[in-house]
Amino acid sequence: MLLLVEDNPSDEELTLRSLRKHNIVNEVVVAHDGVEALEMLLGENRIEPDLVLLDLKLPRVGGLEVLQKIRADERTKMLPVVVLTSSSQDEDIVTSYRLGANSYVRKPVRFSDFSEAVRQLGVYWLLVNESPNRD
Amino acid sequence: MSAGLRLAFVIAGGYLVGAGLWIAVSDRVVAAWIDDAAALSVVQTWKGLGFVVVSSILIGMAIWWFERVRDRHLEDLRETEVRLRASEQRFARFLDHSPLAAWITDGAGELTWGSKGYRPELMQGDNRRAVLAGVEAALAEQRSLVSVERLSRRDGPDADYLVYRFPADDRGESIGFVAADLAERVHDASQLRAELDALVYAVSHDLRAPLRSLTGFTTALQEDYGDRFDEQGAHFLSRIQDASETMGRLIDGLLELSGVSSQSVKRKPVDLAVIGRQEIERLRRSMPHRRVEAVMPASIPVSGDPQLLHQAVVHLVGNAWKYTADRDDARIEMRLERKEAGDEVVLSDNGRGFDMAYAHKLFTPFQRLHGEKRFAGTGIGLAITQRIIQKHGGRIWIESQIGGGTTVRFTMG
Repeated sequence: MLLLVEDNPSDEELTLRSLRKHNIVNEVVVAHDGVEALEMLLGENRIEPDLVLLDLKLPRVGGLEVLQKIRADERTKMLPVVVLTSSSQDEDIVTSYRLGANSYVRKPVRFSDFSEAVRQLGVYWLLVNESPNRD
Repeated sequence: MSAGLRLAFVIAGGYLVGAGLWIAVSDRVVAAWIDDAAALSVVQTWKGLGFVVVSSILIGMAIWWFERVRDRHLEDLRETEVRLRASEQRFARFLDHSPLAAWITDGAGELTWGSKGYRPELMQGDNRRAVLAGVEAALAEQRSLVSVERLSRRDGPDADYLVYRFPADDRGESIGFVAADLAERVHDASQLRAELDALVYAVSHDLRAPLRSLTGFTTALQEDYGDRFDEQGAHFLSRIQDASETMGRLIDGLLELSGVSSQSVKRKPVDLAVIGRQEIERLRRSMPHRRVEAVMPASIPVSGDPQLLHQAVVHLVGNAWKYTADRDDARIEMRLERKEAGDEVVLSDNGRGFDMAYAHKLFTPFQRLHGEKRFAGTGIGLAITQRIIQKHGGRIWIESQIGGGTTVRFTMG
């Protein structure tokens, strides 16, 4: 299961499409802002995804704060988080890693490159990489 | 003979003649008139005294008259001097109060006068070289020179000055200088530039997401509804994709260009030959059909920002690779040339070349000198490279001939 945290509807649709086309994952859950994401991961009826794709520019609560809170909680401390964002600012990259992101990927402009990036991420993190979730 | 001397001779001569005549004649007359020797003696004495009295009155009058004339002259002189000094003071105060440094030198550049704003350090060492550069030639043609020069200061960091040099006479023996500290103005300009770059960066950045949607959903159309389009429809879709590709490249170019300015330059040892070779290898792998000879020394060591210089070399090598595409014996060369004024990095190709008449457009973003179809590119690579080199304090320039290859030279400042 994959948690996609993305506020842009077009990017959401294109990401889901890429995941579907490449047959990477069965279930995808989408959170549209930081509050929703934290609710899903830390609230009642929480989900335990194998991977979180996290955009940084989110309304209400931003991606960096979500990351911080995820890493602060015992239950989600080891959750694989890939930051997938438009920002290429050095500060964002450094801060993301400092807060415990596993990977930082800049969203490509061209859809073909974007789709390929999503495929690679999906294959690596969901198939090749060993997730800490042992159930 | 001067007028004064002539006057002296005339007066002395006149007195000599007059007094001599008086003495000769009066003595004879009195002697003939008075017989008594005692009486004659008394009369002679009185006559002599009278002569002395008259002489002294005349001398006194003459001297008083001359003094008056002299006083008048002195007063005129003093008045002129006062006026001259007032005028000189007015100019000196004007120059001293203005933010300019003004000074005059002789034909050899040695100082003859300097305003309060002038400091000797402006004409010493490297500053002297910069200020006097080209002055001799300009002076020979009675021309003036003006340029912005970066001068060093003892009491602060280097600053940009607008320096005028001009002939101060028409014999080439006097040179005038005026220098204005541009620090304020240059700061404003660089602030504007920073704001502009931030704007360009922000806009380009925000264009990426919609562009991704454009290409994404067009691809979705092609993939999922491709069979519903006839040949014409499929063609239209592919044209949309092409246009989006171009837009994507332009946006990436703008992002790179505005991004360069906001970065600070880290000075580290960088080997340009390594970067050059890596890029050539990468191009060879992506276009294995191309036959290109690459000539470069084992290493070209410079000091600069590794990331920025990587970008610059990639752009230059990429251009050379691109514009030699229609040659089977393409040759790209990179080398370091040691020159007096500073080392030059040289990158040359034997490709298409271009008309030097349009050389000034080369570094302008998005200006291209060849038709779009033949040589794909955004036309922003050189603008980015120029900015990178300028950030390092260097200069970059290009020489080329149509059909005769192109040579890019730059210094690292």
